[in-house]
Amino acid sequence: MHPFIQFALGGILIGLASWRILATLGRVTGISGIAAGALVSVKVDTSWRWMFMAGLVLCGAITFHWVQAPATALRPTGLLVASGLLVCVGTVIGSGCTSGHGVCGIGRRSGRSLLATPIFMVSSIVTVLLVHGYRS
Amino acid sequence: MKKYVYHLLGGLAALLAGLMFACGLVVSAMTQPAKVIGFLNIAGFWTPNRFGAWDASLGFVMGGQDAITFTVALVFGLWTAKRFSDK
Repeated sequence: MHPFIQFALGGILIGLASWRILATLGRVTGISGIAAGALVSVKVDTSWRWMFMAGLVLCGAITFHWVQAPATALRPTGLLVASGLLVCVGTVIGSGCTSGHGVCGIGRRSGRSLLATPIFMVSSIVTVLLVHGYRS
Repeated sequence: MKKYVYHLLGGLAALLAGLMFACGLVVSAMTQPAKVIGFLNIAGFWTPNRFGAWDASLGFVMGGQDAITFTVALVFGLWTAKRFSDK
């Protein structure tokens, strides 16, 4: 199978998972929003958020051990924690992440997401460009 | 339906969706940071010798995702908007 077909199939799987969340819970499958809601919200409906993240981490842990570990070397732990926190802050300010804006938002033609996705894609492209330019 | 049954079923569905989502990420190789950075590295499109080749993978992943969510929104349009909007 051509790798691009495989990647598109993976994308379809992600899309179907978003559909499942929509159909059963009527929610947008934004990872950052789900995580933020689980940590911050004191309302009753936090249980499904924890369950979703448990499934996410569980499948990641299983595949990490038995299928495929990341090919790149892991960065130092301090750097990983710091960058994770930066992602948290950024996605809360941007009220969504790649899954929330890029997958669900674009699909349901939300104006905010159609604007947000190109903006965060361009800013991340510029970041990669700057880091690569600095390194070489 | 009893409230705890509702929460139980909702939690189960969320767990399955989480597993499925992560499987999609693994199949599409988006658990590999190098693939994501490779897509953002558009400089590699013009000068691969200096920056390394550009990697189109993420574009196909997003295409697959949005094809599904777009179709879902199209088919269940009104219902979707209604369910999405209630907080």
